[in-house]
Parts: sequence; C-alpha cells; structure tokens
Amino acid sequence: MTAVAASIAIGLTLLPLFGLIAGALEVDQDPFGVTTGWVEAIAQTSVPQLFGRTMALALVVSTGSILIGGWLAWVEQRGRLTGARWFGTLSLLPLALPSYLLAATLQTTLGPAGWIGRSIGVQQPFDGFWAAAAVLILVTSPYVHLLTGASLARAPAEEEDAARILGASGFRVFRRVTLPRLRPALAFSGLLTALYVISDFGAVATLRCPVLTWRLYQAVDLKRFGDAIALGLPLLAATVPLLLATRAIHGRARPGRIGVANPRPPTLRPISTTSKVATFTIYFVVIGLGVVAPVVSLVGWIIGGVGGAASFVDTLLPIWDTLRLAFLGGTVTLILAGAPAWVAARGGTKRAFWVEQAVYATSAFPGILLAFGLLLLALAGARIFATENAREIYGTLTASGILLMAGYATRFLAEAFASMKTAFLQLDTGQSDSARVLGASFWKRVRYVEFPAVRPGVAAAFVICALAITKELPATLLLSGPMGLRPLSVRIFDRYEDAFLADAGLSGALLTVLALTIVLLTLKWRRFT
Amino acid sequence: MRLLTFAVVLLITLSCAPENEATSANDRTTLVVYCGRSEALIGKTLAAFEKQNPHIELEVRYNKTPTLASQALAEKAQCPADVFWFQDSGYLGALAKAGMLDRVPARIYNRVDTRFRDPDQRWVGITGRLRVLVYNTTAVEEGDLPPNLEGLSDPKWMGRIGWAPGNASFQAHLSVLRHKWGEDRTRTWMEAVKANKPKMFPKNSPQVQAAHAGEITIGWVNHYYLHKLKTEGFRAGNYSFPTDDGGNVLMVAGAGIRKGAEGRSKEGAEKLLAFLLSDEVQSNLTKETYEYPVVQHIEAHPDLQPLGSIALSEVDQAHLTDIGPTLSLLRDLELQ
Amino acid sequence: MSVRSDKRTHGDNPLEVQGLETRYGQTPILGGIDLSLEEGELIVMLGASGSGKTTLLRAIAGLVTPDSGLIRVGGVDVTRGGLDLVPVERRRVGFVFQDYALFPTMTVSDNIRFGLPPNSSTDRPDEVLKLVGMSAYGNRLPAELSGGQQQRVALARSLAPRPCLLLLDEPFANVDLSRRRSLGRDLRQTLGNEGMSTLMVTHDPDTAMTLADRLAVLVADTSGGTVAQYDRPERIYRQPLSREIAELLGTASFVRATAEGLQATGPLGSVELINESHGAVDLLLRPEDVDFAPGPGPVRVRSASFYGRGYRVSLETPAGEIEADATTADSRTGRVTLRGPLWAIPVT
Repeated sequence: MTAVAASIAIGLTLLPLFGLIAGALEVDQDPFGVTTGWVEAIAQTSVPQLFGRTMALALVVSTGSILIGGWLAWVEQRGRLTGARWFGTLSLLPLALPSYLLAATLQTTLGPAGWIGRSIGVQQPFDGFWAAAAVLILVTSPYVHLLTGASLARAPAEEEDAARILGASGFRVFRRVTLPRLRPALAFSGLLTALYVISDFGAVATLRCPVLTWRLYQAVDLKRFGDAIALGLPLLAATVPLLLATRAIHGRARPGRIGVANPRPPTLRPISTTSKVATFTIYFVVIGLGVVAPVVSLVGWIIGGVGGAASFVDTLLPIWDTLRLAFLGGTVTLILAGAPAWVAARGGTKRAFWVEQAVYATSAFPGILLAFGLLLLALAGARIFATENAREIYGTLTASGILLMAGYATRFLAEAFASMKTAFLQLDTGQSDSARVLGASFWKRVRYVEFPAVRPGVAAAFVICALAITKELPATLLLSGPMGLRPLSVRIFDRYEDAFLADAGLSGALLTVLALTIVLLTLKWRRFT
Repeated sequence: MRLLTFAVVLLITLSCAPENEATSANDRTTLVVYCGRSEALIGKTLAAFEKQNPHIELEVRYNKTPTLASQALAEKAQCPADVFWFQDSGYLGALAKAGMLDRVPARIYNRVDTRFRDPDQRWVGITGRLRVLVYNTTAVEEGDLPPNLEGLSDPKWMGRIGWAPGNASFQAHLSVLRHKWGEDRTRTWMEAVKANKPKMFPKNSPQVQAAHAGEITIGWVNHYYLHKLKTEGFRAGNYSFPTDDGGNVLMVAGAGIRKGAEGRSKEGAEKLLAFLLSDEVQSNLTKETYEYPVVQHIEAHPDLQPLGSIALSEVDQAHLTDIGPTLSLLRDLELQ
Repeated sequence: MSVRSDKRTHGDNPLEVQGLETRYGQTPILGGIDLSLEEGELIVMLGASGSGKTTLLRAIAGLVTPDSGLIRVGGVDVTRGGLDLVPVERRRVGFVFQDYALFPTMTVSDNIRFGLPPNSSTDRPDEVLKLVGMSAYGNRLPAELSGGQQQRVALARSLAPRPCLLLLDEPFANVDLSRRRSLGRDLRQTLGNEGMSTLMVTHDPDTAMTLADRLAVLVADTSGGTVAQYDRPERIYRQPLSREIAELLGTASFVRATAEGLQATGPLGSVELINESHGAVDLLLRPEDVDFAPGPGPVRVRSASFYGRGYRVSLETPAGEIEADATTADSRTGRVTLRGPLWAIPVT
C-alpha cells in the first residue's frame, strides 16, 4: 500500500518534470528570437529575487488569510454576535470565484476608472504585489475560515470553560488553550494557502505581480522549457520550507482527547465593542470586495452589452463541458488520492510523513508547467515507443483526456488527500471489528460499516476537487481543446481577452453560480457530518 | 440526496458516452486548426465555413498564439494541426523557420497585398490590426497630438498618457522599434516616456474607456477597441502619425498550412485559407471585427481610416515576435 | 457528617440560589431552583439523567446565563434576573468537569499553575498535588495518566486558586465501580482538609449518600427541574416525600394500606407508622423492612439474586410485588412480616 501511495504521489510529480526535461533537451531552443542562452536567461530573470518575492507573497497571503479566516471562525464559533451566521456564510462565497475573475473584476472596480475607485478618488491602478496579495487573501481566507471553524467546532469546549473558571482572560484562554488545539488546522490551512499562492497564475498575471509563476508562463510561451525548469525547480523547492514550517507549528504533542466524549455545545461569550467593530469591518470588506464588487461588475458587463449582447443559449454547451470535466476530474483525483490518504491516516508515522511530503510537493506545480510537461511527456513517449505512427498515438493520447485528468489529479491531489485523510482518521476500528465478530464478510463490512463512516469526508473531497477543476484555467486551456471540450473557464478567458465583456460577464456569472452550488453543497454536507 | 445520487449517475453515463459520431461517417474530413484568434471574434466565420463545406469538420483549438506556437514547435511532425491561424504572423515565421509550414498555393497567396504576406510564400495575412494613439477629443485638438512616437516624451504630456506594457501588442510594437531604431534609441525613448509618468493599464480596452472619461488624454493602443466600445457621444478618437517613424505599425494576423498535411487534409486546409481570403469573408471580417482586410480591393469598414491614407511603417512581421530582448528591456525598466 | 447550624448568616453563605430558571429554546430546563450551602459543607445533588444537574452547575459557574432568579457566591450576587453581574473568570468558583477538561498540551504542573496569578507563591502547585497524592506526577502530560489520576489532577487544579465554592460534575462517572468508594473517601478527606464548600452533582445514589452532608434531590417535570427534597441523606432515604424520590435513592417497594394515625392496615397486616397519616397511603418498604420466612405460605418467590451477604428476592404477595432480603433461595414460597415503623406516603 505504501509503495502504491508513494508511487502515485511521486509519479505525478515526476512525470511532468520528465516531460519538461525531454522538451528542454530539444535542439531548437530559441525559435522566437530570444537571443540569450538559457544560462544567461536564468541569471537575467533573477531567480533569487523572484523566489524571494514569491515567498514574500505566500507569507503575506497566508498570514492575512489566517488572521482574517481564523478571526472570523473564532468569533462565529465562540462569540455571541447577532448576524454572524449570515455574514459568516456570505463571507465564504469568494471561494466560488476563480482568482483571475476576482482579480479582473476588482481591477476594473478599484482602479482609477472603476466605480469604487473613482468614488474614493484612487489615483493608482489596482495592481502589483499588494493588489495580488489582497485578491489572494480574499480567495484563500474562506479555506482557513472553514477549516479552522470545523476544528473549533470539534475542539472540546469544556477545556475553554475550565480555563475561564480558573480566571483566565479571553485572550489567555485563546493563547494557552484554544490555539494549541487549533495549531494543526491553522498550520494545514496556512500550508494550503501558501501552496495555492506559489502556484497561482490568474491573480498575479492579471495584476502584474512579478513572481516565479508569471515568468514561468512566459518561459513556456516562448518555448524555453529549460528556463521553465530553472524556474519550476525553485517552486518545488519552495514547498520544503513551507512543509518544515508546518511541522514546527504542529508543536510537540498532538492534542488528543482525554476522558470520555460528552460533547456539549461551546459556551458563546459576549464580544467587546472593539471586537464587534473589527469583525463587522472585516465582514464588510470581505463581502464587499469578494462578493458584491465582482457580482456588480459581472452584471454591469452583461447589461452594458459591451462587445455585443451575450447569448445564454451559447453557454449551454460550455456549462455541460464544465460539469463533465469536474465530474471526471474529481473522480480520477479521488481515486488517485485514496492510497496516499489511507497510508497517511493508517500507516506508521514515518511513512505517513514522507507520503504527505510527496503529496504536497505535487501542488507546487503551476497548471501551465504541468500541462506542458504532460504534453511533452506524451510526445516523447509516442516518439520513442511508436516511431511508425507516433502522430496517431500522440493524437489519441491528447484526445483521450488522459493528460488533462493526470493534470487535474496532480494539481488537486493535495486537496483531495487532506479531506480523505481526515475521513480515514475517523474510521472506527472497533466498529469494523464488531462487524467482523458478527460474521460480516469483507464487502459487507465495507458497504455497511466503513463506507458510511468515510462517506462524508470522501464526498467533501470530491466536491472540493470538482470546485477547483471548475475554476482551473491554464491546464484546461491547453489540454481540453484536443478533447473537443470548451468549458466555461476557457470561454471567460477568450471573451475577456478580447473585450467581449458582456459574454465574459455572462460566462463568469454562470461559472460563479455553478461553483456556488458546489460550495453550498459542501457547506450542507459539512453540517451533516 | 437520492435525487442527487441519480443526477450524479446520470452525469457519469452521459460523460462516458462517445464524444463524436462523426467517426462513423467516412466521407467527412476533420480539420484541426490551432487558432490564436479569439473564438468570440472569428467563431462565426469558422461556423460559416463548416456550413459551406458539410464534408469538413473543424476541430478548433483556441489558445494564446505563443502557447500554440510553442506547442506546435515541440510537436513537430506529431503536430495534429492542419492549419495555423495566429494573432501575430511573426509566430508563423517561427514555424516556417522550423520547416513546419507548407507553401501556400499561388492562387491563394496572390490574393493578399504584398505587404501582408510572407515573401517565402509560407504564410498569408488574413486581417490587420493597426497601432494607434487613442485620445480624448475634448481635451486636445488633433493638431496638437504628438507628430511621432518621440513626441510622447514631451513634458506637456506629463501624467496624461496611458500604456499597457504587459499587453502582447505593446510588446510586439516595442520589438519592431528595437529593430527599426536600434536597442539604444528604443531604451532612451522608453525611459523618456516613462519619465512622463504614464498611467499603467492591464490591457488596451480600459485605456480607450479612460480616454473617453478624460482620465488620460492619450493612450497607446490597437485601433479596433475604439470601434468596439464606441457609443453615441463617445469622446475618444483614433490617431495615426502623419509620417512614418515606426509609429504606424500594422500587425498582421495570418494563417499557414502544416507541412505534411496530405490528401483531404491538405485540400481542406487550402479550402479554409481560400475561404478566409474570399471577397465575401474578407469584407465580413472587417465588418464584424473592425480589423483591416488584407486583400487589396476589399474596402475596410467605413468607420476605419482607410489604409491608403496612412503612412504605414515598413515592418518585417518576424520582428513583431522577437520579444525575448523586449521582455528583458521591460524588466530593466521595471515595467514587467 | 455534620450540619453546622451555628453559622446561619445568609449573606456569607458560599452559595445561595433562589428561584433559578433556565430554558433551552422553548424547553424549560430548570424550573425554579432554591438551594443554600453553608461554609465547609458538601452538598450532593442527586437527579436522573436530563434533570438539569449540569445546567445548574454551569449556571452557578457562569457558563450559562439563567433566565431568571438569583445566584449569590460568597455573599456576592453574581446573577440576578437573567443578567450576569460577575463574569465567569471572576466568580471564584472551582469546577471539576465530568471529563476533567485537562489541558492536553500542558504538563500536570502547568495545568495547576494555570489558575494561579503569576506572582503567587511557588509552592502552591506542589501543595495541592501533595493534597491529592499526585506529587510524583508534576511533569507528566494528562494523556499519560489513568482516569482516576486525571480526576485528582483536575481536583487539584480547581483547588489551587482557593475558590470559595467548588463544583463537581459527576466526578466518578469515568471511574470503575470498585474504586468509587475509596476515591470518594479520599475526596471527602481532601475537601475536609481544605475546608472547601462543595456542590456535587451525580445520578449515583451510593456516591450521593456516602459523601453528602446534605442531599438535594432534583426532579424534573414539564416545567423543568426543581429541588424536591433537601435534607440529610438518611432522612431522604427513610422519609422521602414521594415515590419518585424513594426510587431515586435505592430499591423501594410500595404497598397500599389504610392509615389511622400512627397505625396502618393492609393486606399484609397491621404496622406502625413513622408519620401520622389518614386514609389511603403507600407504605415504603426498603428490602431491610421486610422479613421473609421461607416455607409454606401465601407468598411466592418469583426470582432471587445472590449479592454476597445474602439474596435479594422478588416476592409476589397479596399486596403486590415487593423486594426483600433473604438468607436462602431454596424455597419457592414463604410468608412475610413488615418491620415497623414504616414511612407512609399519602396517595394523591
């Protein structure tokens, strides 16, 4: 099992890398007149500086997300605050927006010409490092919010009550009692956020924030796969300090539950006025920028009819394509994430650790690098193993969707893994054993005992992957074409690029509604579990 | 929950259904097009071609032109494309240099204005996009606009200019300037314009709107955004320089046929190119996209300034795509 | 087991509860609780599951805001009329949770130090650890201790800041039956040494009766839980105010009889009464109130179970089914005599 798990995780990381290396070894390195050699190019692209900026962005965004998402989760789970439930749900909605769509809509609304930007007299365009950081915080803080919230809901409330009764102030209770409990959730969501940031392309490209991924896209576009590898390796390397940092946050003892479970709803405490003001300010900003502004923008694009009126009928096929990709990709990712999640949850500590590292490394790959890597791998494979009809084999490979599915699986393995691991951790061996004692066969046990126990987690993993695939752009753009598919994300990109704003707005709105449905389903499931 | 399960199962079943039924019909040819043009712009034209040629089915792969070119160059002989239709014909030049393009038949090639086709007959232009200044018509008289690109560094434009250094057309134009003016002059000029503190834009269309709203007086853009965005009482206009010093660049979008396309594929590919260069399609394209036709006797959209009245810069289209050093220059100037 | 009747100054009682009501949504949980606790006293509140015991403790600690009523801790009003006047962290109560709620990431010493002010004497943790006999475990993590040890640490943690009232929620719920007695004895001694005023809640009558100075019986009906009887345990055991209370405290059988002053007559003959009654009554029969003589007779033995010292037999008598003690289980029949005086509960 460990071997299977490890080969899935490591294989998904290495395959695209092999492809890129094969591509880099080709002779015509410089087809578009990029006159410098690639060694000079790396020196010129100032990798250390880009690396530094990428890490700084990851740090700023994770910190911001943890502060915002963590604070909101804490207030909602422990505070007595009217409206927190509604505002809390609303503030999770940016989860449904792809980063490029949020970046584009905010750029038009917050820039000097935008309706918000103009009314508050903004002079500078909304772009660069801090703009990208803001957009990425808006997109990622719901993840922290959800994960931390779930963790807070599970944490035994009596511990906090005990601390209060012993005379500790709210802050001291948080720092000494709650925080140690939250560490795994915070560390994990911080890690996911950082990985999201270092591999994000949509927001940094739209907002012109020079980080590794952006250069990498240029390198790929210029067919400089050597450069792409030179830029991609630091990205992979960037996951190492992140993983180490996560280990450090985890702390020494993983807090287990002591005594018999007798869960009681947590005691809701009144909140100070300052905290109330802070909380509602955060809600206002997050919902305003993450929900209202983009929706108003999209509606404005649709109604404005710029670039010709949009037709709903034309988007039916893209909607169908999006759904199909989400379903297939989600299924494939889930199947591939199963073995690593099982090992991480049930295997020994050491094995679990290494499998986890390998899984997280996969998500450092930006979509375009991954997509090109897989394409080049298929190409190399076809050329080596089928010299006679390499073209047909290659065509079949790309048209079959194998490459895109592998791309999705690599890109979103970590997300599916995390959710499934939690599900597997909740498997009660006692129940399986008692079923076995009662004479249940293996399949009967799986069907009636084990599957129902892990179903919520697996369903959540599927939904998370489906959501991510719905929003994914670069790999979809490159690899869905040969399959004859034109999903919504591709349509938005196409229409926005050429200022067909009405159509882009409609497609964007439809994608958002689709993603929103998935988010709401997730939230509903979460309530049942 | 049961309904959901049912929906999911239905989705699986449908997802796994065979993709296209065309494989059964032997008399149909599938033509793969690597298309760097936006589907929104030319989707209709391609649909019309399919309607006219029922035995040809188009399989169009849309993406950014550089990405498609990179992909094709990596694929070489395994490239599934029969036709390349690129936003910038410079990338066609790169494919030609790699020996991936077949010679365009003379009857098609000869329809195109000599300025907008490959001298080696490997690709033909389909439409042209003109680099212009867009300006606010109330803030400035046409006569007071800069006489050439150098004029943009005049201190009187301090804080009144817009540009989009991240945009592909901007970078293409800058690449032309590097070849026309030389590296040093281009850099000096960029630094001088930069000293005028131009407003940065992510792309072209917002510049046109900003010029209309008076937030900038001049923007450096492609010509067609104005016509697309123009409404009654729009206060922005296009401007071409009276003389040529590298300012009036026509960027040619073009098409080529893959070398190695044989039989029906080759036939279909040639049919598609001929279709795109037919009188009817050329005049439809300019009507629908506001781009310039490349067949000499076809008139441009009536809203457009006729090409004949513009002192077009003489440009080697290959220079438009030499963007490696351009990117380095932009990075040096901290514009990228 | 002393009731100190010399210090009846209400204002300084460690705990005073008057007319306390709480609801959960529309459902009443506590329907007007009155309770007062004297200095150094150990009060046990006995009630069935769901009668609102824990809610009462949480309200006293300040974790639940009651809808009405008064709570006074150490002479200070902490809650009145549905308003919390003193927040949890300043109420000076100790609370030992059913699951102990030890902080899993802190050592035993750190757990105990948590409730002490930063500048407090450094030997208090050692002192309370010694008090509960856990001196050797200061550096352990809670997960490394047994259930009984965790409980003692939780007790030491609550005692360390010297609260003026200690609240114990089912302290032996997670402890083996065989160890409850000895742990209870230790607990009583510890509390006595500290002179701690304590309110404990439990559903286990044995714990309740062996530990309590006074016992409060909590009974819930549709309008919420109320204190149905508040007295010394012996008295509640022998003289419960209702059949329900009688059954809460241990095995109880009832036979119908007609009372006339201090005498009652029924199918099992005449018997002396503790309380003067008239008309139809239920006589409370604890197993020890019934003498069962095996042999031929009108009483049939339905079942017998051995419990060490003898047998507990279930008898079918002309007056209904009753439970009694017997030395042998050989005979299927016999006769019974009631050992007066008995407690009569009027039939309502």
